[in-house]
Amino acid sequence: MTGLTDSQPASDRVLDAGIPGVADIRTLPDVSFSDEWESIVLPAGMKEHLLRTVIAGIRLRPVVPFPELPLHGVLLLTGPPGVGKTTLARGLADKVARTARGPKPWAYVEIDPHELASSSLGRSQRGVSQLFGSVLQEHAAAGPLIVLFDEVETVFTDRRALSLEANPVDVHRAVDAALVGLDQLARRYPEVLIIATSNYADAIDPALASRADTIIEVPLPGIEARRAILEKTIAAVAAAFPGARRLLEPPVLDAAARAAGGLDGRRLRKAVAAACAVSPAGRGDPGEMSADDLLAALAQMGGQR
Amino acid sequence: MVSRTVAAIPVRTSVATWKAVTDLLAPAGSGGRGRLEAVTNIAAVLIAAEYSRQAPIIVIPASGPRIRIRTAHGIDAAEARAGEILLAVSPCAAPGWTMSLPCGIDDIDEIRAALRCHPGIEARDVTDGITVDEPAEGAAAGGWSIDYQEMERP
Repeated sequence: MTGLTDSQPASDRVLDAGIPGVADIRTLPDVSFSDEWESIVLPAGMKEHLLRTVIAGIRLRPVVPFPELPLHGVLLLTGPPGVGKTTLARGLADKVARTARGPKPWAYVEIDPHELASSSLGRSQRGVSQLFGSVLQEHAAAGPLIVLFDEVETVFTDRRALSLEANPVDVHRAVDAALVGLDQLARRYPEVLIIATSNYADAIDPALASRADTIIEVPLPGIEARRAILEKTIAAVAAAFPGARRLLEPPVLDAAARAAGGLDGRRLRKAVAAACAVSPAGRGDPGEMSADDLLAALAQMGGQR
Repeated sequence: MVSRTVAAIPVRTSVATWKAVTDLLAPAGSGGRGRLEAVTNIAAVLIAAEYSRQAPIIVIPASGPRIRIRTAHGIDAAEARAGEILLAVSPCAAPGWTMSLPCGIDDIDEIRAALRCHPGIEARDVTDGITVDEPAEGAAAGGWSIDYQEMERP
């Protein structure tokens, strides 16, 4: 579960995710996360800019007073499903831990927001308060911390869009509690970075958006990114099924990237798997997959030229 | 300040309550667990008498904030059970921790005598407070070393 390197000190942290609202706890760096950083394909320079943004915050927050420079340590990643926001967040967390090293190792806590939401009156608010007031603050007190808040709109729901008749007041209170908890965390612990993701930027409470130090929209992959994603995926398949190497020819990749307009990274990768099943003659053998099979699979996935 | 409330009687027996406290402070496999298990019977007596409801069990780790643990009894125990969560760090993992157990004045001489062979764990009058210098709240900031080679690596 942990990926400590030899150079890092031991930790007394309790790495057990058996806490309501917590999906994962581990120390960073972690080799499985570094693979995610390498695998994600974004427009040129975007990953590097993200990393520089976080490193600048890490340097500023401990030494510049909060009232002068109110940085909350919140990075918000938005964009349509399948573009790799969660993968990017995990990879970024690992990259930050490898780049910025202090006397204590980084901890990583991944929030499961759905577990915080409860239909019982008062329980959502209590769960959120417990998460920010106890779990995150205690981990933050133990050393530097990165929190991944996936699908953040589940907890930080836009209160203006809620009807008091249809939604229990508990939801409003839970959002209030989350904002208070976030503010306390930001002011007391400058070594906390919160990476939040959302497929529905419009559904996020504006109070969270205003607290985010940086909001990045992760776009659908452009033609170069599509080509790179397809190349990586086909290369991975070809490592096990050498016949698939024929799809790595530049003209094939170029044609496939052109035919895959509008597809997100997840659909692109799945299209490679789908291509293995297109031709009856191939009998499901990935090594028999042809360029035409790949183009047909991309078209079936909704790819547009 | 780090505090927890652990459900006691009737949700758990007094012995099971102390085991829950032990699990909280020193998860299986961590250091310090043996010292806590060794005082199970003494602690169970204090829990059964509800002294730990009136005043907290206090753990002072070798480093980091002290931990206060109270027990919930009767109808409060069920609610406390639902709210039990783990600590972020294991305060008894590193050697050098001490513990103060709350005890009524009627029992304190007997309990202190029983704890004599458990150094670092003592009983205090349930009506007394405890004064310890708390470390400043908030993580110690700064001291970063930026690995530019790693930063430039794709």
